[in-house]
Parts: sequence; structure tokens; C-alpha cells
Amino acid sequence: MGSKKGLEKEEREGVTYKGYIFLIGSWGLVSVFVVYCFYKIFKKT
Amino acid sequence: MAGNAIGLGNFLRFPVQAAQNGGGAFMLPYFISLLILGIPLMWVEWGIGRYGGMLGHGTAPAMFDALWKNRAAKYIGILGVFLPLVVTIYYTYICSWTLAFSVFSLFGRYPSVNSPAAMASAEGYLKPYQEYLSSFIGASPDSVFLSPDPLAYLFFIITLVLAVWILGKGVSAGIEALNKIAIPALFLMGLVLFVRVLTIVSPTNPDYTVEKGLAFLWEPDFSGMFKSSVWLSAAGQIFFTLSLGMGAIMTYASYVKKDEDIVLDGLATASLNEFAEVVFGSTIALVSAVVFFGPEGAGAISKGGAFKLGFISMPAVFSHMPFGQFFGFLWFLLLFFAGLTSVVALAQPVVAFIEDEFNWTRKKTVITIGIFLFITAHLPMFISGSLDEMDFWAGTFGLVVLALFEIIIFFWLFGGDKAWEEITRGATIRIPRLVYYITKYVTPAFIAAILIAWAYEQLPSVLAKGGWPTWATRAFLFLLLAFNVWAVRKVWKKRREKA
Repeated sequence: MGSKKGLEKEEREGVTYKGYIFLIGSWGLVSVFVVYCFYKIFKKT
Repeated sequence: MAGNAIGLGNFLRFPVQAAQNGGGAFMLPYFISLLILGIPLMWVEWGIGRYGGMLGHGTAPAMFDALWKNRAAKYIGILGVFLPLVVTIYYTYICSWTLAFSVFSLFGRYPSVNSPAAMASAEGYLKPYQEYLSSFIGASPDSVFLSPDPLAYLFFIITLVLAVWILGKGVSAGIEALNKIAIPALFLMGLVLFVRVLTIVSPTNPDYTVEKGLAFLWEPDFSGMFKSSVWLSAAGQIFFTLSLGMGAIMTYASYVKKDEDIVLDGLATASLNEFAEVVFGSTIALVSAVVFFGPEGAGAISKGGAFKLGFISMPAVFSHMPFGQFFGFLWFLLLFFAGLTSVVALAQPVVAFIEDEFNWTRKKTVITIGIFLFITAHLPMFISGSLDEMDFWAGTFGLVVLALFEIIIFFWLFGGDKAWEEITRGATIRIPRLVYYITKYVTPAFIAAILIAWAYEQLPSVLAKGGWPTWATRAFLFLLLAFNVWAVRKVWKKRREKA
């Protein structure tokens, strides 16, 4: 995280709900992406 | 193909880029770039490759010549051989560091910092590890010459011989066989390290928690969303991570069958790459840096770049972790597998070019390329700044240029409808027509914008760099490109004579 303001906030609180939204959203998105592709591959074969 | 895409950039470049460009907010331009740039361009490269393969062509010069009946096409296609060759020269050397550091980790050769005074600051903590890397690669602020440790030279030769041996085995018995072992092993090692990092406890400050590490990367800073530099970084990362504009995907796609589902193949490659990058790449190196050095220390490390994160911060982390030797070995072995699969993938276009166009045997081709790589790698190995110069022209600027040509030649000069038919033939997933318009109009406009912005922002400072090492590297690149032009000219002259 780049900004000084953000850095100060992290020092105090750790991950906020916005951070968790991005973390879970991103990890979830790529996980669903992998599962979808491999489901399609296995279904085909 | 996942072996080609998953490389050092997934684990070292991505966390640095994300941390420097808004944390969680970086993921918005990143995923948008994946959708409108990465996936369409990947399908374009698969489509060009399969089309070329059906005509018996394995590399970009002949593929472009078949797609666009113009004398210039084959010369533009040279970039699809030249760029991966240049990247292979320095990438093999960097890959050899990861092998060396995995062995150093296993045998506990790292320096050790135990005094509370040195451990109190990130700078003091990292200093011996910085010196260790500098000594390994032979960097000195007073000299333009590097004097690498003999072990660095030895590990480079081992890596090169291994890559040449795999290439010599062929695409199926060599490269595919390597990927069948390396990619599952890489994911397994990534999972072990991922779990280990999420359960780590700071030895320096109890306030430096894993949660703070996750906050460091994921806490969104929306102020960067409207900065062109953030969008450029996101688009650039998508280029690097998916190995787009390198020519390697086209060469591999030339081996697939006429009705192979390249839409699904391209998506599956991208999905595995994204998982490795966004889940493992975001967590392992940067979260452990925050836990050990705090958010400010990790900020300074990420500003120092990918090498500082991977080769200085991580050894420092592992040296103060229970079973650190084992986990350090695992980390660098993971990087080595990621790097080696990319090295052999990037070398394949030039192997295919020589085999196809000069009818050389694979053994003769691979040995010649091995000797060429051995000689030319001495530039980045012994001349300071040479690696950065090669990386800018071939690994940054060149690949965007080639990508723009690919999409113009395939979708505009060959024909959008024919290109779309080529991509979607055999596809089990129905792609919305909207993607056709995105690929034809939005993707090339986006690539052109990246190119213009990079030319405006980075070219002046790159061109302003003086000194003989810079110019020697540029002269080498120019001569290599000229040699490629000569080779293509000779091949086509022979073809005309035969016809």
C-alpha cells in the first residue's frame, strides 16, 4: 500500500473491511476462474 | 503452456507492483487489464499460432507472412524470435541465482544477524543479506564491471546445461515432461509456503502480525485509481505475467490440432497463472517481509524492487524461522521451477525457427543456441546495467510493440471475421460477440495507449542514459536484430529460388 495515510492506518488497525473485500474478492475470483476452467476441461474429456 | 506463463514475475514482480500502486485498489485496473488486454491477446496468439501450425509454420516470421501478403510481414515477425531470444539470455542467468540460493538455503550458507541492535531496524537486519547478494553477483558501486562469485558462474552453467538438455529432448519429451513435474510441484511448494507464511510469528516485534502484512498489500488506496501510472503498471504486469508479445505462445500453439479448443486452453493457462500470482505471489514474500520488518521496512523493500524482495528480504526471513533452511530451499526451488519452465519456453521460438527454416537437426540447433546463450550471457553477467538495458528493450518495450503488430495483422489485415473463426473453432465455451469488438477495437487502442505512455514517460530517461556499457548493450541488440533480418532475408530468398 503506497500512501502515507494508508500506512498510518495499517499501523493502527490491520485489515479493514475494505481490505478484506479486495482480498477475498481477488482470491475468490481467481479460484473460481481455475475451478471453472478445469471443470470444463474434465467435462470435455 | 502454464509453464511458459508462470515465472519469477508472479512471485516477485506482482507483489511489488501491487504494493506500490494502491494495494487492493490495484486489483481493479489489474483485472480490467486481464479482461480487455490479457485474455483477448492470449487468444490472438493462440489463434495465430494454430493457423501458422496448420500451414507448417512454427514461428512468427512465417506466420505473419502467411497472414499478411506484404514483404514487411516477415520482418515484423522477426520480433517473435528476437525478443524471446534476448529475454532468454538474461533470464537464464537470473534463474541460475534461484538454483544457487536454493542450495545455499539447504546448506545454511546465509549470513546470520542475531544482535538485537542490528535486528532493531530493517536496514541493519537486511545489510548482511544485501552484501551477500552483491558479493554473489559481484556488484560494486565503483565499477561498471561485475565480478560474480565463481559459484554464480558455476550455477549459471548448470542451469544453462539443464535448459539445453531439456530443449534437446524436444517439445513433448523435454518441455512438456518438465512442465508435468514442475508445475504441480510448484503449486505444492507454493501451498506449503502460503500456509507457513499465514502462520508466521514476528521475531522482531509482536505488533508486526500477518494481518498487518495482508493489510499492507490489500488495504485499498483509491487515490491511485485515476493515475495513468497505476493503469500502466497493471497493464504491464498483465503483459509480463502471461508472457504476451514474446512469440512463445504462438510457437507452442503451432503444435496443437486443427480443432483443439484453444479458447479453453488459453483460459486455463491464464487461470493457473492468475491463481499462482494473486494468491501465492501476493502473500509469500510481502506478508513475511511485513511480519519481519514492519510495514515501513516492507515498504522500503518493495521500493527497492523485485530482486530486493526475493533475494535479500526472503533469505533474511528464512534465517530466523524454525526450519528456515528447508523453507528457504522450498522458496528458491519454487522460483527455480518457475524460471526454468519459462527459460525453455522462451528458447523454443528460436529453436523452431532454425529447425523449420534452415532444416537443422534439433541436436545441432540446441547445441548452437546453448553456445550462443553461454557467450552472450557474459554481457549481463559482467557488465553493470546490461541486464536492465536488455530488459527494457526486449522484456518491456519490445513485447508491447509485437503485441500491437499481432493484433493489427490478425484482426485488421488478415480479417476480423476470419481471425474470430480461427480462434473460436472447436471451442466448447460460447464467447459473447462483444469480445470480438473488444479484441478488434479496444485491445489495440489500449496497447497503443500503453506504448505511447511508456514512450513518453520512460523512453527519454532510458535514451538519456550514457556510458559505454549502455551503448555496448544497445550495439549488441542492434547486431543481433540485424543478424535476424539477414537470416530471414536469406531464407525467403531460398524459398523464392525453389519456387
